[in-house]
Amino acid sequence: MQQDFSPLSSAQQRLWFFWQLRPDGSEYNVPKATRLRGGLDAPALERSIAHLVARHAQLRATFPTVDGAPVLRIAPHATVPLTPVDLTDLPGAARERALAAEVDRAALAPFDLVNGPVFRARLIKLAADEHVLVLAFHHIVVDGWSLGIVERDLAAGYAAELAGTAQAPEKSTAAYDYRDYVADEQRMLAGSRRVEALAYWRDQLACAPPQLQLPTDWPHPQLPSHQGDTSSFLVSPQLGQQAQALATRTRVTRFVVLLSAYAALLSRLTATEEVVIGVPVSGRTTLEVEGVVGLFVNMLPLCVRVRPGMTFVELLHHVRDTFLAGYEYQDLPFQQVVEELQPERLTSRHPVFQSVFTYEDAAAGADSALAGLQTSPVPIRIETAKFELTLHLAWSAERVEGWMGFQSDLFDARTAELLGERYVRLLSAALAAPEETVARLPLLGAREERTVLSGGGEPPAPGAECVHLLVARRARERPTAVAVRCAEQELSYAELDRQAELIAARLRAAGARPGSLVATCLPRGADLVVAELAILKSGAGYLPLDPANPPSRLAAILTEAAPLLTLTDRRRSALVGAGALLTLEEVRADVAADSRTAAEQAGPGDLAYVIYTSGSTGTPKGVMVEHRSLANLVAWHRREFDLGPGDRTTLIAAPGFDASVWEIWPALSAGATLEVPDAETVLSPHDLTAWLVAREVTSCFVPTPLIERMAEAAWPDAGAPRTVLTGGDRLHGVGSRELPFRLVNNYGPTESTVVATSGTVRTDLAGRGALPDIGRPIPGVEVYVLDQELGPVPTGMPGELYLGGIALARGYLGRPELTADRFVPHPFSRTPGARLYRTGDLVRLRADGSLDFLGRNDHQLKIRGFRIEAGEIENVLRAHPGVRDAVVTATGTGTGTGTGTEPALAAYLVLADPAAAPDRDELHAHVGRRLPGYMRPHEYLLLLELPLTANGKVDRAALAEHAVPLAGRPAAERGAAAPWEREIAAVWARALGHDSFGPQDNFFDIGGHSLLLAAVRELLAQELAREVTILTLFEHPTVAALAQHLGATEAARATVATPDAPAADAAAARLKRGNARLRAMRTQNRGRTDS
Amino acid sequence: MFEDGDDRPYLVVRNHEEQYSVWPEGSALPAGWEGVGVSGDKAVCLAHIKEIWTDLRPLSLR
Repeated sequence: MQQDFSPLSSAQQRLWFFWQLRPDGSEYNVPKATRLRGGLDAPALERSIAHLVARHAQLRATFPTVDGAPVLRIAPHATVPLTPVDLTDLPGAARERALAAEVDRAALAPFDLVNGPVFRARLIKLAADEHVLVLAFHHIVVDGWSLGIVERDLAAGYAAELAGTAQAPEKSTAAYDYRDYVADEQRMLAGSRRVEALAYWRDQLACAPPQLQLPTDWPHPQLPSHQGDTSSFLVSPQLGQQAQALATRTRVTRFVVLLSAYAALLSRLTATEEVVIGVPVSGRTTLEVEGVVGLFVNMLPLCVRVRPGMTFVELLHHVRDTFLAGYEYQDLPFQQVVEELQPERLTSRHPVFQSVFTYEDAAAGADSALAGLQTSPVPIRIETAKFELTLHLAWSAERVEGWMGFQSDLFDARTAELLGERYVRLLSAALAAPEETVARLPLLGAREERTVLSGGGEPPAPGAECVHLLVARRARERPTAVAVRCAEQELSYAELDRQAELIAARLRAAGARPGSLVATCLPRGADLVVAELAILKSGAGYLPLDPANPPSRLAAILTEAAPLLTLTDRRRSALVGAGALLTLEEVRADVAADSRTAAEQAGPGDLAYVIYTSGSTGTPKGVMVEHRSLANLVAWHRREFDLGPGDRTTLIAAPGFDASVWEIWPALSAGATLEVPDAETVLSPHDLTAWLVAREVTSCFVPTPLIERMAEAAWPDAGAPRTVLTGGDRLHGVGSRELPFRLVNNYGPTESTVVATSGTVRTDLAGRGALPDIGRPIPGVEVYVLDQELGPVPTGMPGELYLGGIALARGYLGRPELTADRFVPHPFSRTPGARLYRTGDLVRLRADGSLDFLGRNDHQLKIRGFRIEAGEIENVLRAHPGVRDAVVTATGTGTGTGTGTEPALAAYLVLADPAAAPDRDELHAHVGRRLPGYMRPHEYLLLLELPLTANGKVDRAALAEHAVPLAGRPAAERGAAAPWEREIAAVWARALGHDSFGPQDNFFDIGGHSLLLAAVRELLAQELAREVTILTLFEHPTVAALAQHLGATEAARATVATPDAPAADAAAARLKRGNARLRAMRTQNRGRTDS
Repeated sequence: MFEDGDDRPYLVVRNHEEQYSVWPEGSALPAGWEGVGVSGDKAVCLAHIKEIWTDLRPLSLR
């Protein structure tokens, strides 16, 4: 005699726990929708469902809690109504839309596991002879196998009803019940079999990476929404045949061939030898359970090792052996493996494996059709994903169908599509050459390879012309328009042109011509603009020197560049310590200058300017940019930002930076007015904002740190610029505030003429934790993301950025060896002899064609055997508002217990504001929210600036020298904030059965597991009279963290002073908000697809 | 490839505009480039280029 209450199986406990975490989630719904054409006997169908529920006890199950633990309760009787929905009145198109909505509602509505039911049925009537039957179960009572049983039993029951041979519904008489299975499982878990199986899995997973290191489009959110989607692809019949042939030849199954290709793909994409893939197995190991509806399915965490040099055939045998060995231990529930291994716990990620492979051999289900009806499946929109990435493959005689399922928190649909393409490409290559090393198999799909190797860019911008000619034309068209306006003077286009001609004549007389170089040493202002225009008019290129630079640096540059002369004014003439001088005062005094010197015009290939940059090497180097490159920049800019007469732009960048090139020439070529703020204004974000509004500036460039500050403050209701361009530094984002202008982020080395990539900053990034991207290549610029062998890197993967195209500089003035080293032969160009500039910057190409800037091409770290990109951690640190720059290194002195000199991570920080250091714990929590434990720094150290080596790289050896530790809050303050620690520790000790832990120990490191949390919650409620959600416990896994959290919510409650308010739990509220957001998004999605 | 400070052998190469660069020995040379008969580690190649590439202008501009 079975009791009413019985224990759950391990798998059920796990699902019950997930349901506790997200009771409104639908990712564990198992729906099935079938279209029924023909005369349906609905009452007979309803009676068949009653039979089904009577026959299979699990369909009558509920899961209430007793003493904090869930129990399985089987109701003696239960009725699952076949709820009718009538859509026959609707017109055709509306009917199909309503059908989709009804199917979704029936399939995806959440289940209440405590009160039941765990199974629902809907019959949607479309016409007299057309219905859709929707059956939906919670996964806790069924698995894929069960669905087959349900269909067969339903078909048999319906046939019997029609034939009049059905018997009255009665309780299941099956000899074997799911509760017997639970009892068997418990016996197994109490015996030696468990020990043996655990030993096997522990050994298997010993070296496995705890997290899939697959680059994602978006950072892992703290709480995954489990929103998901799928991207489908077809494997050609020929490929299927080849897979079958290879399987036969190598004595493996088709499943093994397809799984091996997936393992190879993941190994290649993550650059790790080991990948852990979850593979579902039926879990039905005895004959008795074959006809039982229930949750038997188990996941095998297969650890596949793709050793260097391994061929695909070798991999096949390894995967086969690994799978068969694991299959032997499939009776050990995955939950047990998790508890035994106690892997790094993150609420954001599935334990042990994050990627899954499923495979079905599509068998015809002829015997499951309802008698007298024509049945066909109705697709159900998959809007959830249990796992980060799942490859589903369905094999049938005709074809192999594939779906890449993905969590949309992490991946964009296009990325999933590319992953599917890469899978097919790798599989095809492996099948064509199975003896090839896995490492050499191509990863890029043909289409992706074409995209990646196209350089991504558009052809050079049309209408490109030497800029000084364009300015001259504007002067003829609108002579009285204001070209430059400063505080002290206003210069019309006619006056600008006249003065520049005058100076140009003097320069030509002094020998200026195309190819020669003339320096300026003038501050930001009208004179500088006149002088630069004059130099271009003379045919020469200009070299702008910033008079604010130390004289020694100016002298060094002048000595190396050896310009024809330096144009300056009387006030700055003393600064120019080398070479010939010409002051503007001299030129203006000399009214008799002969302006009729034969003027040789500069052509597109001639030098336009030289900008000295410190770049990545320590000593400054002069980048030579030709007219065609500048003309391309200007043509693109004018078109992209719609610049014309009447526009007001700014000159903010100091002379000597190439941003000033970008500010001056597009504006003057377009006939716009260049507004020049004074030095004071440029230094104050507040004043600059006011000045931009007062001057009615329509488009401007503001350096990154400045725009970040300006974006924080409020803008007046009217008068903001139309467009604000930024660049020069890593853009952290500009908060969630809606900006009154289009903000455009730009990236580009001087060697690619100021701007290589550009993109409007998306405002919907807030909350997803991603830094703004650097946009896409502008016309005339080619971008390539390449590996160390100059091979293309797949979309989404980090690689070094190489630039090509018309924007490329000629080289470094007087530095042939440096030029040859950085400008290298172009392997992908259609133009023979073309060059690529290697930037030394790490980027990755996003699926939408934009680029993410990741940092400099620097060292990779290895901690506890994991390859860690320091850049990834650095990025997370830089995303903190208090951090300006960060370098992460591995140190030899670790804090690991008992492992001696385990390396640890040290984070060296340059603060955004040295006077406002972030709190160490808060910063650590910021990192902890985004990265797994092994990537979290052990030490945080502060530096005023990063030390550089002689060749301009961060001097890692010198980092520790001047660093001081980032202070946490005083211990006294921390102690006072945590009055609950003792009580919590007592509860933990009771739940865990031991008390050998400290306030900072992680619950999951000291024997705790997720199911114990329910007991902890129950005990806390008794001891502290506080309701705490399981999620709160999960998120605060140390005594100290939980105590602090409880203290904080206590304080919040006291402040709010509403004694009757329900237990306010921040985490629960967050979860609710998350679910509300989810529902809202889902509604939107429906709305979109319905319309 | 082109790692700073790597020690693989390189070739000194030149294109039709008489622009010079280096290319790893043994890798297929992109179209429009040819070796000038000098090879060695990168430092050797770059030192040679410093000697012979005296006019950085493309040939068509000289």
